[in-house]
Amino acid sequence: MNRVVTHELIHAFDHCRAHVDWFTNLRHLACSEVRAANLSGDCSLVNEIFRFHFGLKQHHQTCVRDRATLSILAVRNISKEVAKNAVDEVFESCFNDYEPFGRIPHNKTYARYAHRDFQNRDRYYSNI
Amino acid sequence: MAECSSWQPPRPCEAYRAEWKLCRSARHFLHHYYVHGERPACEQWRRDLASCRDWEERRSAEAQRSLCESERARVQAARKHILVWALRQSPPADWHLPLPQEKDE
Repeated sequence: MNRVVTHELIHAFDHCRAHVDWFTNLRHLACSEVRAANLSGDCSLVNEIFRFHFGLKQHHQTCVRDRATLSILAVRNISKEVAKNAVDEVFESCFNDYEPFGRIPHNKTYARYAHRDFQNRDRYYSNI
Repeated sequence: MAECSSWQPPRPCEAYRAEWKLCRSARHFLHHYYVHGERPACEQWRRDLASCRDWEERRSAEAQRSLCESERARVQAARKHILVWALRQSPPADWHLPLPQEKDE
């Protein structure tokens, strides 16, 4: 449940921080789905193993692409090819967009460090 | 970068140590390999920790320069990709309301 709520909160975050055209811009939708799959824990190693998707080296990215494509197909009446192409177009940019965490929060330690960086942001940006 | 005497390292030295320790951990190696397909690079965190401690002990200008350069490089690396969308100045006033459905295909 935590993972599901985190996934949706990332969509809510994107809605608040950017001009996202959810309905007519497939690239925007694809980008938010890539970020949600990437940052919510959807594609953790454990979750993928439970789905019988076995892979290690860079498998996280394969999972993110696949799940983002599935999420698009769930809400858009388009072909899998079109959805996949949209994900491919935006992947490089959106996969590496870690806002608001600054990193992929794999577990509570990473989340704690991300929160620490957030609390420290004034000191950080005024001293670089 | 602030040139006056009020400058301090962007992060506390303990934060650099914690990041370095996390980076070198087996668990992080596994996470990083799973995501990026390569081993993590932790040397920069070690250099930053050394610079931070050097600045705390000697107020070294070289340490200050090195830390600023390193952190600016991190910020640049995080921002190098062109965004798919335009950022807002503030959230939409109706952010809490359901999205309008009339454009749904």
